[in-house]
Amino acid sequence: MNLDGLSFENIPKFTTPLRFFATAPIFGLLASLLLIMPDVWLSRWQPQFIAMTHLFTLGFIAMIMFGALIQILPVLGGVGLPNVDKTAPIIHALFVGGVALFPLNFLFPSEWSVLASLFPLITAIGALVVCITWVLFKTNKGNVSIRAIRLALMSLFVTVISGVIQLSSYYYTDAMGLLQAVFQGKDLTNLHMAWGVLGWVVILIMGVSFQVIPMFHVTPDFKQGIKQWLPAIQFSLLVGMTTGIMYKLSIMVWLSMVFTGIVLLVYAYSGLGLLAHRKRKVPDSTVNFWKLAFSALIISIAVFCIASILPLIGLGHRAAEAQLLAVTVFIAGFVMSVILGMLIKIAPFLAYLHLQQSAMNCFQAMSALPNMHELLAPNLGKWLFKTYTITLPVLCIVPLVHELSVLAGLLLVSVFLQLLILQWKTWQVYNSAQQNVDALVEKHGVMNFDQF
Amino acid sequence: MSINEYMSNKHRECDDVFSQAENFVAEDKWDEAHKHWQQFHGELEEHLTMEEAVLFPKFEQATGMTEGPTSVMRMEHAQMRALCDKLANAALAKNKEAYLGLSETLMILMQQHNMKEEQMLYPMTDRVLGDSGPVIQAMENHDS
Repeated sequence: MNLDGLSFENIPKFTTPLRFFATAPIFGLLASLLLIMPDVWLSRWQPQFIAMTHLFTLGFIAMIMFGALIQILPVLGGVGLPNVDKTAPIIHALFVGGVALFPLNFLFPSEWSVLASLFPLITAIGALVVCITWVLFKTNKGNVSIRAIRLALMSLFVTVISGVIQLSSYYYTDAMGLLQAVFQGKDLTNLHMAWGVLGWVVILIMGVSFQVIPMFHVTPDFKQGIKQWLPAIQFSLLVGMTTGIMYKLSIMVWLSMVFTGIVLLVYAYSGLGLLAHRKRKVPDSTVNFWKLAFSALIISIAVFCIASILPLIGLGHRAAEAQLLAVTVFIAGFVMSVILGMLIKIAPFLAYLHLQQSAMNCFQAMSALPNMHELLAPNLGKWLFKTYTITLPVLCIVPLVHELSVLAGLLLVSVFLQLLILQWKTWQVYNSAQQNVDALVEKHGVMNFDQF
Repeated sequence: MSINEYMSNKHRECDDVFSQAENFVAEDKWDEAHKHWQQFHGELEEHLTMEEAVLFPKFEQATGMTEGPTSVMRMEHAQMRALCDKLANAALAKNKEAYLGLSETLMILMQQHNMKEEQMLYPMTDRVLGDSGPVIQAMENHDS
């Protein structure tokens, strides 16, 4: 068993994950501005809509998840990325460049935009996937979260490959002809979305939540069967869905979708159950975000069921809108809430962890450390939650009432601005505390910790 | 019962009392809060001492690793004790804001520490020490 994870040396510097967390809201802001553009919601195939969704899914969601993975791997599995403080900033720079150029593929498409955006994007994701796979081979194999992260990474791989094929096929028509023999119409796009959202994002959230919900909120543990099987079943269902689509077995696709709904309901229900039994009763915005996320997950599945029934009752022309609504509730209600909740917990925690390390063995410096609430005032988290509970319903209605897209965009701008301010404040407290700690360590020196 | 199970149960017991104390502080019920805080503080100290006086030396003896994981765990114990001192002062001063800020910090620090122990150190201790019975017995005896 590898015990390196017990040592602080494997934990990346504070700035390493922070650069991912701090740049993500900027892409969120850009996506929100695109949302304000007219006609963006007319169809999910609109160039502005695809540009907006990719700025959001790559620039915000994936950016945060990469930052979190880099930080959490050494703690969960005992092994960190090789030379993380040097490799991660390079990966980050490439990823930022790729994401920033990516919307050009939809807004001003050309062969050059494909090359210019895909090269840095694929290099960054490829490097990260290779590094994390290397870590996962060396790490504690029995950990349920680590197993889920493996499946999430495989899903990311399928998502990236299917996305690259689609984008390239617009310019390399030979490849397109070959693909048309296997996939019909928008099948490949649907698979790209399914593997990205239901595989990479959902399985990763599952794996991390198995660890962080009981740990940070002192709830009972997820049931062993859920931790052991849910991510694997979810992954198998995606394989089933893909096989069904490739071999035109509609019953297989339908069954995979039904069981995916059941898996997600089981997950949401158990998550809510744990939070209802949490022993800490102190108000906590992260807990509120988790509750909101699980409730939105249940609602999105219900809306998706309704969307599937609409054609059977003669309302087939509204099915596309209902599907878009289900996806919006899923992404904005479930995924985004989880991310916001985690960010307000993880930023002050990491700041504390690093300050504490500098103060190690100096009693005076240890006593001068700011606490979690001083690093991030609980009121800022509360405000973020309140703003988001207003933003979310507006955002969810937009697929049905397009006139609200400007309001939804502006509300989202305020959410991402708050997220930036919140991290900036934590960074300021961290910096001044760090200077204070350094001065105290220099003045008083260090002592043996056994003397405490 | 393995060392991992025994010690993990102790962690959960500490979490329970800790949360109760925190809940009373949040409700401004300082008498109950004090009672539970002192119970938690006592249980935590007992647990840390059990590890430092019995478990870690046995691990170090069996593996020859004296500067390795147990040394990191001891440092984290010192950090928890420093935070507990500040919490005790906040409880005495009935300073709710300071108490809740510090208790959030200690909780997160403790959970992170527990995770390292439960997922890495204890399983390895179980493996290198073999029979857990005498070790648990020694910890309980030390306890009393």
